[in-house]
Amino acid sequence: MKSLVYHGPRGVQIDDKPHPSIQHQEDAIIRITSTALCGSDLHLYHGTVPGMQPGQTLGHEFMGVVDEIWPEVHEVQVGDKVLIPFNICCGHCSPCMHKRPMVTM
Amino acid sequence: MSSSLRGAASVFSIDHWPIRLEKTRDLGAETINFDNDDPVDIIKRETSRKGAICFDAVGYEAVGHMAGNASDGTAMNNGEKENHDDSKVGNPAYDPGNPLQVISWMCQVAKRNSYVSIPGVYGSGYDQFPLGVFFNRGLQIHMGQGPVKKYNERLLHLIETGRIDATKIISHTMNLIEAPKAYSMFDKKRRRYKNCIQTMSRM
Repeated sequence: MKSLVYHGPRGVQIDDKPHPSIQHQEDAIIRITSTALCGSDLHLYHGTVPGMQPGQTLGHEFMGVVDEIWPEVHEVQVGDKVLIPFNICCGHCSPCMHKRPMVTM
Repeated sequence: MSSSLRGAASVFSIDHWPIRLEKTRDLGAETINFDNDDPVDIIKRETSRKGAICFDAVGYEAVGHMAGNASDGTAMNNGEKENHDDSKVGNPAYDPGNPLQVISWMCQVAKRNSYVSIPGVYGSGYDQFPLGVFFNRGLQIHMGQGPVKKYNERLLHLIETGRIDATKIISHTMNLIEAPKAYSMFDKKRRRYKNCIQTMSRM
């Protein structure tokens, strides 16, 4: 699949990467239909965010269609159109249950 | 857009990039260019000194102290530091070296006992703070990454029913294959691509 890959400060290009696979019982694979470019993406692009490594895939504001899910995922179904919040979260702790997931980062 | 939706009688947008001021004017805001006018003075006057509900949507990348590292506040000059004529700024207390300039302006004009919101990004190095003014004016601060999941559904309904048109802030739509070009355009928006506000890619 096509990915936008970081190769170093101000160096990004479209590379082919292996198709992702379902690995966890809460996983879903989303086929991205559109994505936005955020000011925070420029922090990554400039290489000023600690931990950025060449080879990492960029992008965090996107929408798409559910392509594949763990068989027991019930909240979404294959074919659903979904919009992805940028917050990285576990989905189970108290802040997540109160829909304030940025606290869990 | 959100302020109008929440019923604000008037919305002020403070910036010094003409293209962004123009965009917010199109969306219904009154604009203040801080290179020509003093935002503190204008907001005090326009609100009859009652103050406004304020939010800082800039974060650490404001004029004079951008291009630093979000996590430690140091200047690394990796970004594009704006070539800015500090002598033009309308506010007499403007300090180009103060990383909290926006917040210090905000707390002077915030309505007493109101919430001041800071969705703009700051790192842990930004630790100097006008505590006294906040205390005296009884202000409370909400800040951090937006709790997107809390508002997602409500916002989606507003888009579906046509109450807000989120496409108004998209200036460029490109194919995903052109993403490297989109990054470069967005990065160089200060110099060459003056009209690049938000870029979107499609497959």
